[in-house]
Amino acid sequence: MTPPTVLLDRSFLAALVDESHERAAEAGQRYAELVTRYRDHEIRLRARHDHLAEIDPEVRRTLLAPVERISVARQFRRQADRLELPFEVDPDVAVTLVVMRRETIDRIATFDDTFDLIWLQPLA
Amino acid sequence: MLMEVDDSLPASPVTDDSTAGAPDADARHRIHRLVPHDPLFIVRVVLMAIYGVVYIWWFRSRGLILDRISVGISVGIFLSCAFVGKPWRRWGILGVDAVLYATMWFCYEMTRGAADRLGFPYQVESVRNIDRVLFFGTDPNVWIQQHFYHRDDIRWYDNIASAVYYSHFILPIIALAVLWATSRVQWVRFMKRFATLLFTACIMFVVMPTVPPWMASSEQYDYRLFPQLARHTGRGFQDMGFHGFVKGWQEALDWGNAVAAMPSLHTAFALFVPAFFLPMIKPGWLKAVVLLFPVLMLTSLVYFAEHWVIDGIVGALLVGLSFLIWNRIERRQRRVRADRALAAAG
Repeated sequence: MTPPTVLLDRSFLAALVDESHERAAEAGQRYAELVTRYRDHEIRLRARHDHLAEIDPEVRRTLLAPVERISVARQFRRQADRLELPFEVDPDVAVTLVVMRRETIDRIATFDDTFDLIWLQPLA
Repeated sequence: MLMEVDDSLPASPVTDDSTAGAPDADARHRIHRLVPHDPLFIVRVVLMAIYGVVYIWWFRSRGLILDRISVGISVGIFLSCAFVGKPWRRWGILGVDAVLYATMWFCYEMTRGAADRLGFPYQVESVRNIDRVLFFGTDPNVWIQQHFYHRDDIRWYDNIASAVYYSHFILPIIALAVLWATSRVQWVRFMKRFATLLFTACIMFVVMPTVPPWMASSEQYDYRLFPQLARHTGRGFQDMGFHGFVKGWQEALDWGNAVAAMPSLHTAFALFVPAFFLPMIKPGWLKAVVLLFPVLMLTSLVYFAEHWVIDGIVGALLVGLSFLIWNRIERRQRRVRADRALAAAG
């Protein structure tokens, strides 16, 4: 059976790969927990390919070795452009929402407050 | 903050500190209401349903789609329906997968077809003797036909056995096509194990060409180990109103090998598909029922004199081997990647 995906959002990746980030320690600790669960085949770790492309290749090969890339198709971006949301949202977050819907992803690791507006539960 | 979308949970305040100050749970938006479904989703579902109806009609009126090219075309049409409106990159990946898939079958057919011409000695008495040891001196093919086969009478179990036999040509293809359309991750898992099974089977076809029981008992050959056994595989199926096979290009692809009895891929596939989906089945009784299918298949094969019992046992062992190998490889890959990540994280 395919384990559920945890999407690593851009805000989470940014904190994870940047030691000077104010939430770097928290991101590192959370990521270590996620990786342990990945090793036990409880979850898949995935991230958008355009978000991963912003990260140094060596870091992708080592720190982010368990993370699979999700290709963001042009039709995803077009759908994101057309979204009519009841709250203000960054265009990049809109694309993430479309990706989550299309890829049936129901978990996300993020530091972006926008996701507080969506029906979300903290992962135990 | 780690978040999980969960539409099924009752509205309750989120207690995690990281979400303090967030709107009340009741006020939150559900993602499927914010983001509408892929507009072509319904089109795909309708096309696949139409395909299913046409497939059943064809099966009933024209016969079972059997030869590799017709099966390939059929699967291709199904996947075209299933991928309507999907991103071009998905289509590209599908194309590469399809080429690899076709190559696998081509190599299999070529090897299987040539296996009996490579000079390895045919196995006849050896497999008969193993079966006799397993059944305390009785020949299972002979015994089962003596007790259940009636030349002028088709019984209910003839229909069942025949249907089980022919499911070999449908079940793995349906499983593959559905996985292809729904989850590439699972399709890749399936294919790695499936290709390993076919590869090891091909090696056995080459080094161990094995005469099947019907041939070992036939008066047309010199073996004549038993009184002639009936090879009555198709009559139960025809009795149910199915008219046989779509022949089409079959003659052009006639690389058949009559002495490819060891291992039994009928038994192997009948175990492979249920074994693959077993973790997705929850009730224990249903798991047991599903696992009866390969037993039923092997019993049918022995009844039809298509295979020796040992062929089926070896086929099942190869399935176990392919799962064992790939389960270990995948576990190791996860461990290596996780260790690399944790080492980098310090």
